Amino acid sequence: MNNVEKAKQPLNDDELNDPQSEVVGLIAKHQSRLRGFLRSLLAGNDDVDDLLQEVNMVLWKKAGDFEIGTDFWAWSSQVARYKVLERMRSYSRDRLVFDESFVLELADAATERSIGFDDERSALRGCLERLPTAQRTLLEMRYTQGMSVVRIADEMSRPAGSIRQTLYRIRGLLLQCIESKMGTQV
Amino acid sequence: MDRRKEFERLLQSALSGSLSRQDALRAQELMRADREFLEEWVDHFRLDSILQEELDGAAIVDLVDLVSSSGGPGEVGLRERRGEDVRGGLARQAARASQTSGLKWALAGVCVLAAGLLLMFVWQSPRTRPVTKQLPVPDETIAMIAQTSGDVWREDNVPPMKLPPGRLQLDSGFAEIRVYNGVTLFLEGPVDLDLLSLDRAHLREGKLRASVPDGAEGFSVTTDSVRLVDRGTEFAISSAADGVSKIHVIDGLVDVFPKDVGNTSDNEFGKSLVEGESVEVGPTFGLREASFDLFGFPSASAIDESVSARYRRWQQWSEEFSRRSDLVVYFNFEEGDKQLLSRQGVTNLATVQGLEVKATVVGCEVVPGRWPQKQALGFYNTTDRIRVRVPGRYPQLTFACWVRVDELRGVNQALLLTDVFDSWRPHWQIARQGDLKLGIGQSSVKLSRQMQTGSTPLVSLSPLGRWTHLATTYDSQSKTVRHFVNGTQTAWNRLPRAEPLRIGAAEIGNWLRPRKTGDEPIRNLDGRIDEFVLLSTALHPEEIQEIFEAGR
Repeated sequence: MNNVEKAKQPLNDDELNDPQSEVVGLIAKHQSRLRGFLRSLLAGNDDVDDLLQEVNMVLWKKAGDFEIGTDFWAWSSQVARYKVLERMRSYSRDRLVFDESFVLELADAATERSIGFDDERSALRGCLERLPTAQRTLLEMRYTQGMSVVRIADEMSRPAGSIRQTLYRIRGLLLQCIESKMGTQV
Repeated sequence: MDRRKEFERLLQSALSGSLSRQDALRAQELMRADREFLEEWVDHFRLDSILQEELDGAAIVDLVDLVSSSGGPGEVGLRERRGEDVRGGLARQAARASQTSGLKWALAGVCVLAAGLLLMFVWQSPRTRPVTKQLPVPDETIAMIAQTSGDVWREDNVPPMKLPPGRLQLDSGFAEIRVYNGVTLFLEGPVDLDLLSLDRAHLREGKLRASVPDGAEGFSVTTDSVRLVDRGTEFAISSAADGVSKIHVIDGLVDVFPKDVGNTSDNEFGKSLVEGESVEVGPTFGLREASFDLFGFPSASAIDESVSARYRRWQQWSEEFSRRSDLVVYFNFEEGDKQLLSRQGVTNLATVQGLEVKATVVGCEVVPGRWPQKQALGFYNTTDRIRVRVPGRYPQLTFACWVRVDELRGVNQALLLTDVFDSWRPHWQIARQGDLKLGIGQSSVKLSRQMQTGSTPLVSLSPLGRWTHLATTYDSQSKTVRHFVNGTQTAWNRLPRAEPLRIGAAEIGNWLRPRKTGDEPIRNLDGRIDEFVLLSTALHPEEIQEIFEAGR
């Protein structure tokens, strides 16, 4: 919680210095991971873009606290976790999804599961290359064209459940592939 | 209902943003009961978001829009007020930076962040793209460095082996440049040269000798005062700081055109020089005949002599070095011919410790090393490798080798990789990003990830195709890893924990891993090695510098 404590402190002058430019790069690089982190903690039930924005602001302001060379993911996911809790406390009871204690459990797992995965994007690219065309097409319908599962099902004349399952399976394969690439990286 | 099926359905709805509160509580229940579900949950969300960015590519642009628009008129509401706090902080910061205050600066700050993020995105994306997936770029190189000896380049600006047009500033030592049309340029520092195209070079300062074969006639060298066009020959040319250029024809014929000499009435089309003739051209006197001393001009024989001298010096050093008591493995690949190397294996020259180190060569062409006389092994084929078995446990280790990396393929390329990567085994390699990396095996992938030490990208320190000395030291006592490139420390790291390392069965230049998943990219080194060293001590930086100096 150390970084969370720090996040509450006022700004220092030395935060105006150089680490910021480096941190801006790291922030950009970690956007999708942070977004995934926020979404998983909020059960995908909320528009997380503005929350992500708040996280970015804090990271940027606190750039001076970040020690270049240490794990940016560990640091930024701490900040994101704090932002999620802050938002949850502002919700009315009926908008709450997960229990706070469970959110913390999820946050721990989410941080831990991708520590050291700095190269995940390029590993993913390698894995995408090897996907069969049909699977790749399905991913493109879902992610590039942003089609809903129901629409894809409609278009392909297949039950939505089977599309859902296929997408799930493809993601599972990709995760496995990434894990093996990251694991053998060392 | 099958719990797994149920969980997958819940996760899928959550990913598409349509999970009811009821369902969320059920998901929570399932995840609390089964850790595997919880991990899948966070993994799928992470991957889903990364896929969105990877396949859609719009995420960062959205971000920029958001940052810019967040400076607009504030709405009411709890969240928005917090947002204002953030903007307020930004404003204070911007105000401090500029000694001004006000909303304008808040907006400016926001825009700077937006621009910064956009810039980083644009700048980062091509870099993170795997090297192998890039479209083939047209080859812009026009020449290659055929040989160097004791070459020192200005501001450590070492040119790559394949040369695109550009400036070469050799402070001292020799370089033999072969232009693709067959022209050879001999350089000896100090010389400052612009390689302009296949048929033109501009000599800013210094001396060069050029040998132009049949078919490459028309090659021209310019200085500030003269233009020389070759008609099939060998010539020497110098350019001094005072603007005086001297030309001597060693063989054949050249045409010389003085520049800016007012009215060159006596010979508008320049002057032809034949074998043995010399001229000088200067701003004050134009063109005149001159005596010429070839002494001090670089030549093939001067380079050859320098190369032999360095090779002999290294041989002496190598013999002495092999007597070090802390040597575990020392290969210099100098024994006999290729047959001998592949049949009898590489000889371990480290004899003092008397370790049973066995080394077998599989594949590997025997190719020239740092000097033409020296042997190296090439690892260009996926089959090429040196199998080695190193017994023992080492509280300290130094890995060192002379290597020429010819290509970075966006995959890991092996220097020394142990067959298995279990606890406390080292993996020493050039990582996919092109940095020198030492990884140390641990009981889990997660722990192993904390034990990696990388350096800055190698190409920024030593260009592709140039012989480079790489060294890495490991000290379990101080828990430090240090990387050295060409004798200079380029990175160090303190590990969270450290124990003695063991090697056992391993490979140099490749990796024979137990192929369980079958999806491991090939790891052979796209290059050659002509000296390989393992020491049971962590060498001091000065010692590594000495090794580099003795072998360069």
